[in-house]
Formats: sequence, structure tokens, C-alpha cells
Amino acid sequence: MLEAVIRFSLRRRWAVMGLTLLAAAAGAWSFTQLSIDAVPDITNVQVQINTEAPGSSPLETEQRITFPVETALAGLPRLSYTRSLSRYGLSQVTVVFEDGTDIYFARQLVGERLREVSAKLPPGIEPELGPIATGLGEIFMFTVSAEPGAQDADGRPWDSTSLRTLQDWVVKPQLRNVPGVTEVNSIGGYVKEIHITPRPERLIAYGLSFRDLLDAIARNNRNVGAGYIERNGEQVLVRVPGQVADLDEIRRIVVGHHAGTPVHVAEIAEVGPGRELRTGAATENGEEVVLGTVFMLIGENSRAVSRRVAAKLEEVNRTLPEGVVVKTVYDRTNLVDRTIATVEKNLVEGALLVIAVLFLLLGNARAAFLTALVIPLAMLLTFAGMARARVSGNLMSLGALDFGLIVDGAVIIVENCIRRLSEAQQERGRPLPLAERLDVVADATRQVVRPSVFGVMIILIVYVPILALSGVEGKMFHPMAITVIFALFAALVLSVTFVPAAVALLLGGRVVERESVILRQARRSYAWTLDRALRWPASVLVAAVLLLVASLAIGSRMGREFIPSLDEGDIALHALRIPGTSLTQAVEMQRSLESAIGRLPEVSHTFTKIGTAEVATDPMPPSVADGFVIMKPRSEWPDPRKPKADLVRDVEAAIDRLPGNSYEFTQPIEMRFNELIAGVRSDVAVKVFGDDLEVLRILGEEIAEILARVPGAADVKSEQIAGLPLLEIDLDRAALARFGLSLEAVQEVVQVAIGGWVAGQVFEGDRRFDLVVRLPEDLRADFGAIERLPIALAAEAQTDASRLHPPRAGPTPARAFVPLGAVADLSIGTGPNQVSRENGKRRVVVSANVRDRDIGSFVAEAEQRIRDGVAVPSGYWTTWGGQFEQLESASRRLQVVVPLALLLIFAILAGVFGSFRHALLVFSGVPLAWTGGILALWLRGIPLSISAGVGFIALSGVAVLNGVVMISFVNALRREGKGVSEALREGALTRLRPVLMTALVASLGFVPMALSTSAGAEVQRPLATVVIGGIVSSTALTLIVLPVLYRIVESRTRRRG
Amino acid sequence: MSRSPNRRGRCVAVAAVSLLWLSAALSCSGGDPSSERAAAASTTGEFRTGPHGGRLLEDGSFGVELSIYEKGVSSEYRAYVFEDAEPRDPAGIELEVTLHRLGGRVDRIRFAPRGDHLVGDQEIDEPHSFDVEVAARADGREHHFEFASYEGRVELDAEQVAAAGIEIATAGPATIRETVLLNGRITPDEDRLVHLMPRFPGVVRSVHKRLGDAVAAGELLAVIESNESLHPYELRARLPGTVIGKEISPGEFVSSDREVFAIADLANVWLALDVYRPDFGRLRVGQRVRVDPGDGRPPIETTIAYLSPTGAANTQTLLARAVLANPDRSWRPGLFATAEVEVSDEEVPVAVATSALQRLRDGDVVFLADGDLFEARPVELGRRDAERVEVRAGLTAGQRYVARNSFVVKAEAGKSGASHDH
Repeated sequence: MLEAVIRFSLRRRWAVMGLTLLAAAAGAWSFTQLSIDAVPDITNVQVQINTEAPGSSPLETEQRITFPVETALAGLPRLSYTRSLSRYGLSQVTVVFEDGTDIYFARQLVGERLREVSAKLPPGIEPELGPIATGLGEIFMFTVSAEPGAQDADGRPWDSTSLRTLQDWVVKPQLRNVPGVTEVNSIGGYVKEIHITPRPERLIAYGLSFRDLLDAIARNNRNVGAGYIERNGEQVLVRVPGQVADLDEIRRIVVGHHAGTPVHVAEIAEVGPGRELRTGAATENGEEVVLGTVFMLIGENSRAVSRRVAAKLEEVNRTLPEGVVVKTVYDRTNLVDRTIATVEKNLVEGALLVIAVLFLLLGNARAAFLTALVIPLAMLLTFAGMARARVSGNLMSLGALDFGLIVDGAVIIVENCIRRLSEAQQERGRPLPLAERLDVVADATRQVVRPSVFGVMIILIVYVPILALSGVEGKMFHPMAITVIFALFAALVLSVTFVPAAVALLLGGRVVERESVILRQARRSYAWTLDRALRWPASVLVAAVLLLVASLAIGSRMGREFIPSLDEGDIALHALRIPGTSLTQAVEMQRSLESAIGRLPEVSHTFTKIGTAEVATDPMPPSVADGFVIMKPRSEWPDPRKPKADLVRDVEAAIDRLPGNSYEFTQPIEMRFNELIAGVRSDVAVKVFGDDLEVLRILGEEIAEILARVPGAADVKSEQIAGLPLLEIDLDRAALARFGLSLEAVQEVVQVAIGGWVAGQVFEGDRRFDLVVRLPEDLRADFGAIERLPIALAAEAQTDASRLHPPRAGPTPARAFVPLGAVADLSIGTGPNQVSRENGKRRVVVSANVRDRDIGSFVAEAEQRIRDGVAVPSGYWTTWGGQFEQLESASRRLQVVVPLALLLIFAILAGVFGSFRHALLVFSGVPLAWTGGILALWLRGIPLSISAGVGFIALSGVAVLNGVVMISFVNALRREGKGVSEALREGALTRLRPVLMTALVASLGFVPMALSTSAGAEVQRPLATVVIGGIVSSTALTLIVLPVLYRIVESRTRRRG
Repeated sequence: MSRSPNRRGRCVAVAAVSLLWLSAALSCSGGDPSSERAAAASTTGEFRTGPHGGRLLEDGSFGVELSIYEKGVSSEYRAYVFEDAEPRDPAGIELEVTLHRLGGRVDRIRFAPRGDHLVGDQEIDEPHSFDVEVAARADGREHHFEFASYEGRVELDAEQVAAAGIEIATAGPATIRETVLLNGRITPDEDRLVHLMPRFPGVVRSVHKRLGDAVAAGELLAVIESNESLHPYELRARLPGTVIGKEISPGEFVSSDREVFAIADLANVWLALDVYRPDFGRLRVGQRVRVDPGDGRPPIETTIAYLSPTGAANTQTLLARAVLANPDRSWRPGLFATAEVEVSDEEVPVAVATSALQRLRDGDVVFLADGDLFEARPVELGRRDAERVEVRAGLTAGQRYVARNSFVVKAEAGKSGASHDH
């Protein structure tokens, strides 16, 4: 079959060239369609349901909102699990569906259920679905800020309320309609509200209650339509406007009457713009700002969308009042561009190196050029494949592409063609005519095509187990495996079609093949070494085995890392404070944090989201801040080659001395993934389920204590579910009864006075602002004032009041009041900080990492100890979770798939040679190739990782490829009738050049990657290190150990035969 | 037969390959997520624990395990003695533990045998944070141990303190003025208020004063023609004052049980204050009152003149009264006013700024400052006013404490527990 293909390509060489060109063009077009992102998307299929419950504490939120919502979702098709979080004022239920579920289908299902449940929720509570975005969705962030000295229309400096108003009513509406944007989320500043703040003593004086005030405002702020009348053939609409137009109209609203004298709002309350009780704030470089985050719709191209957003922002900037600017603080384009730059650099450098190596070793520029052409061609074909398979281009998939490997097959074929062509020319003493040339090329290709095709196929197969990974690992590595498979497949096809055709076309005339000096020298010393090796086979084998054992020993003690962290360039920094930290305090603390970080020379700017944004895509309490530290381009750093880890250390050192904060370092996208996946991020976790929060908390703490004592445990943490300061106003039912008050009436007063109550809206053109009634700010925070809050008594109690009160003259109060303190006890305590639920049950997580110990035995021991040491009451249960779950499932899959793949490779090898012995011979080369890789990693102090694993895979491919080429050549010589030793020596010396070439191409091509610090370096460095180290040992093996082994095996067989 | 070792060798090679694959690719554990930052829960570090969960101290063959036994609210030290790691009879062992606390307090605890262990002779106060010195004498040999056992201790140097805006003050005597805020109404002085009624029913001939007119004693108010008195009679003011009520017009028939004029002397007015139940016991006649007229004029001072012996049934309030001088008649009866009654004015031996207070484990604490070290001290609070609060226990005069931005210290002490849970 292969031969037929080669023959066809040679016969129809122009057609093949044309087809190749066409395919390349298709690839180039595909590249423009390819969704390019920085990192693979590892988000699961999930729908967030956010429900705002203004003023509710975590317990009430859970009881009245989260529970009904969660219950309604049970039994959805393709549902994987639900989890929920109830915090102050917010309920968030996350519904996770099985992978592969259509997101719109999922959202529709959830939406249907929500409609059913809305009747069961408290009035006015409206669940909303989160934005249709994944963890890669936050592509663009900007701040709205005023230049120093800028003034608004009234001549006042811009405050954070008016900036937020601009964000909400000018910036956001424009950005929202940019194609590919699904949500623009605001945080920071204050949403403008109109506050009506009654003074309690005036309410008492006029005998008015909060309710009277609320009702009065509601009754006096409505526009009404009254249909139409017909008049002289005309239809006239009737309208009774009543909406308040400005603050003065609100002040003039009549709240009550006294003997015909109206009491206006102005008499009992201040009316003016006020600040909402916000749940989040934002800072930039130590200053409070308004921050917007643009969410990209699922499946869009982040680069294209963020460019559109940036362009739109330019326009928006022109529409803003003078002195107010919208400034980009985070733009995904930067990262994506850097990713593309990395890939470009690899492509160019790889090609140049390949050309250089080929030219040096072949001494033929044309041959070198056409081999190098395989790189861009394979690349373009890969893009076509990726675009069709909807695989995104990112640091993982493109960054790990290995060009040396791609050209290996072509190198072997071209090398053999050149050798044979020049031999043929020398034989005949003249340039070959076309027909002869075609014959020689066909024959030369055929000679090595099987080994090189099978070599590539073997590498393909080794990648297959990666496709068996599922979950986060699967999402992380599938794009990479698929891309490599596409690339290799493209290279394979090219090397049997395009390469022979191009050789035949380009290498006409005299074929120059100069043995370079280096090669001649190499060949001479190789011949010497090979002879010695063949003479003392035992010592060669012992040395090889020793090397193997040593490297295995080293390998088993090396650090491990499952998922490499892709360097996004910037740093994300969680600043964590104790529960109950107020927003104002947190902003204050963040301010000093940001100015400390801002002093580092590498930092361009910093910005932070504190607490929860308008759309609660990440529900954080005010005690948690998501900080972003954006770096300058490396060229502007004092030391452009400074590793990221050092930089993180610098940042840590800069902020470590600030009291009251603890930190977690991640990266912007990584952080978002963590928030969305939100599984347990530690190695192991014990989840405790049950009813009573206090019992759960105690169980959690007990389990944490036990876990901490199990050897190997580190970073043991129990989820903080308590610790939120709570002012509890306990109503005394007996006292209420004495005054004839209802519980609800008193609750309402507290709710209105402290939490505020929306009594209506004020319209300013299209903008609308809530009219909120609540206590003046100075009284809200005053416990004494809260205790004195006037509660209006029911009317009938008044009559006997006038009878008993001694003063006879002067008006008696129109209405009697009691202070809140008379019917309630105020006490400060702590309450639940948050209530977490999973699959409809309250839950507490105790998490731990495992160091210097295998997780399996740790879990077994910990489980035993917990069973012995903790009395779990009935109705409560524990389950184990954490990364080790994924690890276990991945291991189980790989335990099946890896041996299968190995078997398949072996079968292919056996097929190539028609001999198990030779297959095994070639196979035995793999471990020795790995020794070099392990040693190289060890020397550079790089841990074992999937990325290194990919390097080992590539390495095995090179080792097998070289082995196959070498053995099959020797076999061919023997079939020509030569003896074992003679064939071995001749074959080995002849194959020295291709072996060295593939080795050099692969290893030199990786040198820039191994030293790289640019985007994608963390994926490339281990991979490149393994390949470079491994190539050295692999080449030594192929050239020395393999011939020795071959002779041992063959001589024994022969003796027996 | 020579094949078999060979084959075995190959099998080993294959196995090695698979093993390597596995080890490289899959058994890579999640290992060390660099983002995770281990926060040390205790500053004291690791130590050996004994069989009773306490700290095990060893010196040669002698060993003593010290544990703090918590029984309800109070706690005591218990010590278990070992010889060659075997429990031994505690009798005859002399043991003394000295606790050096922040702020200079030193607790010396002596031990006496009880059952299989020794027990300390005093309770260990919270917080259990101190440098511990242990002196033991067993079989004629002295053993000495020292260790630190800190709980919630925070170290901040001067620079950090300044940057965080922390202010440190010294606890000491202060005057605490406790006040009660009351709502009230202005009423006329009832002792100087006259309700006039006609002596005989009749027809009003003329009316001479209007509402709000000032009248002198004996001044003519109205003339009424009565059938009973047979000739018109005059209605005159009994005392000087202002007409505050008038329900009489010429030509009108008035009966003798109807009040026609109310005349009040407004030189003094009364402030009737509603006192709510929790404040009953704190009010006394003679206490100083600051009255805010609520119209922008400065508050004036007076005293409580009267406390009603009865209460109001509907509001469960008590009437308190203060007299206000009203020379310019600006206090108008009928209007509302708020008053601040000073219910106590006392010198207390130890007081701290109210901004120093924080809550920790359901109790009030003040952060003690000693050089660069800070530690929470549970305090028992007494009286308080807007600025200062009395400390009854937990802090002594002369000790330095965090007066402002104390939250930062609390946050620093508690930060190891701060986490980001989703």
C-alpha cells in the first residue's frame, strides 16, 4: 500500500505538489477560524443560579431560598451534582451537568424548574441564571476613574457613586452589545440611591411610623394611564402622571395630617442621594475605583472578542464626560498574543535549526530546505484538523508541539534518498535522467519508509492513553494529545507523498553530498567505539543496566506535579482576612497591600475585587479579595530573565509584613477555574454531611484534629462556616403581647430602619434609582439608637394613655410608641459565616494535603482513625473526596489503557520485523532512552509532570524510530547474505548519519524551548529537557547497546539453530 | 534452555517500561499546589505529646508530661511523671511551673500529688499564652525545662504598627459619664397654669384678650351677663401669664362647667420625659439634663425635678420632669424635645477607649501591647460612655493596649484561619 502511494506521488508529483499547496492554503484559512486561547478550558458544564436576598443572613438565605431552589432541581436529566452556597444576602446554587451536555439545553432545563419554584420563594425574590461563560470568560477588565481635579456637571469632584452611575448607564450598555460579550459585571463604587432618612424623634413627635412613610411614598409616586377618549375623530390618550421628578417633589409628599395641617416628608426626614449597602468594592493601585469585567460567551474567540471590546471602549471613552476615563486593566489579547508569539518562535527557530543541521550533515541546501518545509506544512494541516475538531489553540496544545519529531520521518527519507542518489550518480559518473531518478527515489524511500511510518505510528499510539483521561485532566490534556496526533499524522502523510515528490523535483542535476568533517570524524570514532563494544558486550550491558537502575532510583525520588501550571504572566493574589471583616476595613487593608506591591519594578499595575460583584459570578464575602498583579513586559524588567517563581517570592516578601492578611497566589485564569470548578483543591478531603450546623462544625474540627495527626498530613483545614459577627435582636414575645404588637411589625421596623426599604424608584431620563427609606447613617451604626427605635403601638392603646398621663394641658402624643429595647434584647454574637450544601444536604469540608506518603495508604489510615476517634451521630455521614479521587480514576483508566497501548506498539514492531525478538530488541531501547531524560530532569531540578511525560513519549518515539531504522537496515544487509558481524558493522556505520541527524534535529530544536522563559515555558521546559537528555542516551543506545544486544540475540539463535 | 533467562530479561524490560510510564505520567500526585500557602496554626512549633495529650518534657530518664485540663470554664495544670518512659508514682516529686505572661504578669504554680498525677494549685487564666519555666526535683536531682506556649500572640514592629494606623494607649483611671437619651414634650408649668371657668352661666358680653396675649394679674379678660348673677360680671386673670387657651366669643352662651380661658405663666416650662423601663433604676431627682431644642439652638442644661410615682400602662413608661427657664418664651409647650440625662459620673480605676474593644470567641477583648508583641486579653467591662469603657477585670492600670485600629491586630491573630471556601 505504502509503495503504491509513493509510486503514485512520484508519478503525479506535480499534482501532489499542487494538492499540498491547496491543503496548506486550507490550513492557513483554518488558522483564522481557530479559536485561540491562552490555556485549555477545563470548566465543566454548569449553570449558576444567583438569587439576591437583600439583608438576609446566611441562615435565612439558605432556609428560604437555597433550599427550595436546590430541591426543585433534583432529578434533572444529565445532572451530575448540585452544590450551593448561602451567604449574607446571596444564594448561589451551581448545577453541574455531565460533560458534553449542551449548555443551552441545560440552562433551559434549569430555567423551567426555576419558574416552577418561584412561587415558593419569598415575595420579590427572583433567581437569575449566571452568564453563559466558562472559566476563560473573563477576558477583559477596565476601570472607570476620574482624572485628578476633574469635576462633574455641578462642579464637584467625581465621587465613586457618580462614577458607578456612569459605568451602569453609559459604559455597560454599550459594551453589552459587542458581539461575543454575554455579560458586563460591575463592582466598586456605590450604586446611586435616593435616601429618605427619617429621624426617629420626629416620627415620634408627629406620631408617624416607618410604615406610614413607606406607604405615603408608594402612594405618591405613580404614573397611571387611563385609556383613551375619542374627540372630534381623534383618539386622545389619558395619562395621570404622578411620578416624582426630583428630590424636592419627594420632600413635598404628604405623610400625615394633623388637624388639617399636612406633615411632609421634609418635616420628618432628610432626602438626598445616598449610598447603597454594597457587597463589593474595587481598588486600583491603592485607590477605590469602579471596575467592569467583560464576560465572553461560551465558544467565542477570546482574542477577537477582546479586540472588539477594546475598540468599543475607545468609542465609549469619547462619550464620557471630560475628565472621566475608562482604562483597560486586564486584556486577554496580551496573553493570547504571547501564546501565538511562542508558537511562531518555535516554528521559525525549529525550521532554521533543522535547515542548519541538515545542511551540515547532508551538505545539501536544497534537501535541507525541502525537509524543513515539512514543518510549516504539517503545522498548517494541523490547524485545519484542529479547526474541524473544534480544538482550541493554546499554550498546552500548540506550546507542546515538537517540531524535531515532526520532521524525523522526513529526515530519514530525505537522507536515504540523497545517499542513494549520490551513490547512483557516482556509480554512473553522470547526473541521473528523470526516470532513473524517480526509480532511485522510489527505492530509497521504500527502503526506509516502513520503519519511519511505523515509528511515527508508534508515537501516535503512545499518545492515545492521554485521550482516556477524563475530567479536568482530560480537558487539560486532550487538546494537546489531539494536536500532536494531528501534527504527526500530517507529517506522516507528507513524508510519503510530498517528500518523495519534492525530492524527485528538487534534487535534479548533480546531487551534492559532502560528508562534512564533523561527520567523518564522528564516523571514525564511532567505528572505534563500536568495535570495542562488540568485543566486550558484557561490560556494555552491565553499564547499561547500572545506568538504568540508577536513573530509576533517582526517578522514584523525584518531585511530582500532576497538572502543570501554565504561566499566564500575571499574578492573581487572594488576600484573605478573618470572617466578619467589613468592606471599608478590607478596602483600607487592600490599599496598603496594593501600594506595597506597586513599588516592585516589574509590576505595571494592580487592581482588586473585594467581596461580591453586581452579578455574583464569584460570591465572596468582604473578607476575601481577588487581587490582580499585572506585570510589565519582560523587556522593561530590571532583569528580563527573572523566573516567575522569584517574582512571586518578591511579591510575597513585599506584602508579608502587612498585618492581618493571609495570601494565596494563583493566576487570573487559574483563579477563575478554581472558582468555577470549586471542587476541593487539596489532595484529600473529608466531607461531613448533616443537619445541624453546629454539630457539623464540631465534627469538622474533630476530624481536622485527627487528620492533622496522621503522618504525612499537611495544610489541614476545616471549612470556616462560623465566625460572622451578628447583632441579634431577640424579640420578647411576652413584652410584645403586653403592648399588643405583632412580631412582624417590629421586624419590619428593624428591617426598614437598618437594612433600608425600597419604597419606589426615581426616574432620570432612562436612568432609574431606588428610593430607599432607612435611618440616617450616624444612627444606623449606633447600638443605642437601634435600641431606641420607635415602635408604634396599635391605636386603641392611646385612649387610656390620655387618661392616665398626668399633664392635662398641651397636646398628648398623637400616637404612643415604645422603643425597640423595651420589647427586644440586643446581643452581639457570632453566627454562620456561610452555609454550603452539596446534592441538597448541608456540608462541611475538611481538606488536607499529603506529603511524602502515598495517598491511598493515607486515606486508609485516616479513615480508620476517624472511625475510631469521632462519634458521628446518626443522620450525619462522611465521604472522601479531593484530587485523589480524580487521581484514582485516572490511574484506573491508565492501568488499562497503557498496557494496551504498549501491546499495540509491540504488535506493530513485531509486524515490521516479522520477529518477536527484534521487536523486543527495539523495545528494550525505550527504558535506556529514558535514563537520559530522567537524569536531565534531575540535574535541572524539574519535577516529573505530564509535560515531562509527553517528553518521554516523544523520546520513546525517537528511540524506537532509530532502533527500527537501524535493525531493519541490518536485517536487509543480512538478507543480502552478509554475516551478522559484517552486517552489523556496515549497517551501524551507514545509519550513523540518519541517527545523528534525527537526534540533532530533535535535540537542537528543543534547546530554545529548554531555556525559554516566555509564555508556555513551563510546559516546554520539562518536555525539552527530557528530550534533550534522552536523545543523548538514546543515541548512545541505538549506536552502541543495540548492536551489542543484536549480536548476543542473533548469535544465540544461530547457535541453537 | 538458554532462552528463558533471556525472555525473563525482556519481560523485565517491558515491565520497566510500563512502570516508568506509569510513574511518570499517572502516579504524579497533586503534590504541592504552590498556590496553597501553609499557615502555621501555632507559633510554638512541634513538640512531643505524652499519652494524656500534653507536652512531654524529658531529661535523661526523667520525664514529665504537662497538660492543661479544662473543666468547664476554669482550667488547671496536671502533671504526669515518668521514669524511663514508664509512669511512676508522683509522690515525693517537687514541681513548680512559672508562667511568664505578656505584660509582665508571672504566675507561680506549685504542684501536689493527686491520684496518679500532680495537680497545680491555681487556676490558669485565659489566654493560655506564656513562656513556661518548669523546675522539678526528683530523687535529689534537679530538672529544668523552658518552653514557649503562645496562643494568638502577634508580633508587629513599630513600622508595621505605624503603617497599619494602630495607636497604642495606656489603660488608666478615667471619668465615665453615662447618659440616657430620652424623648419628651414641653408642657406649661402646671403650678402656674390656670383654667378659668365662668362662675355663672350666661351670655358673653365682651371678650378682651385673645389667644397668646400676655396678661397681668387681675387684668380683665371678658364680661359675661348672667341671669344668676343678675348683672354682668367680669372674668379676670388670677395670675400673670399668657393666654394659651380660649374658647369664648361675644354673644355666645357659656355654661359654668366649661373652661373658657387657660392662662399659663411661661417664664418656666416643664419638660415631660418618657423614661423606658430599662432606665427606671438609673434615674434620680437632681441628675443633670441636657435638653436639645431640636431647632438649631444650643442645648441648655437643667436637672430632673420630679419622677412620677406611677407609670403609663400603654407605653410602660415613667414620667420624669425637668423645669426649663423660658425667659424669651422660645420653649413652646406642645413641642417635642430630646434630652440627655447624665445618670452617672464616676471615676473608674481602669478604663480603655471603646474603639479598643473587639469580640473574640463570644467575649470582649482588648489587645495588650508589650513592645512588639500583642495579645488579646479577655476583659470584663463595666460602665461606658461614648469614648471610654471601664475595665473591671483583665487589664490593669498602666498596661498598654491597642486603642485604635485594633481590628488589624485581631485580623493578624486570626489570619491563619482565614480561608477562601467556595
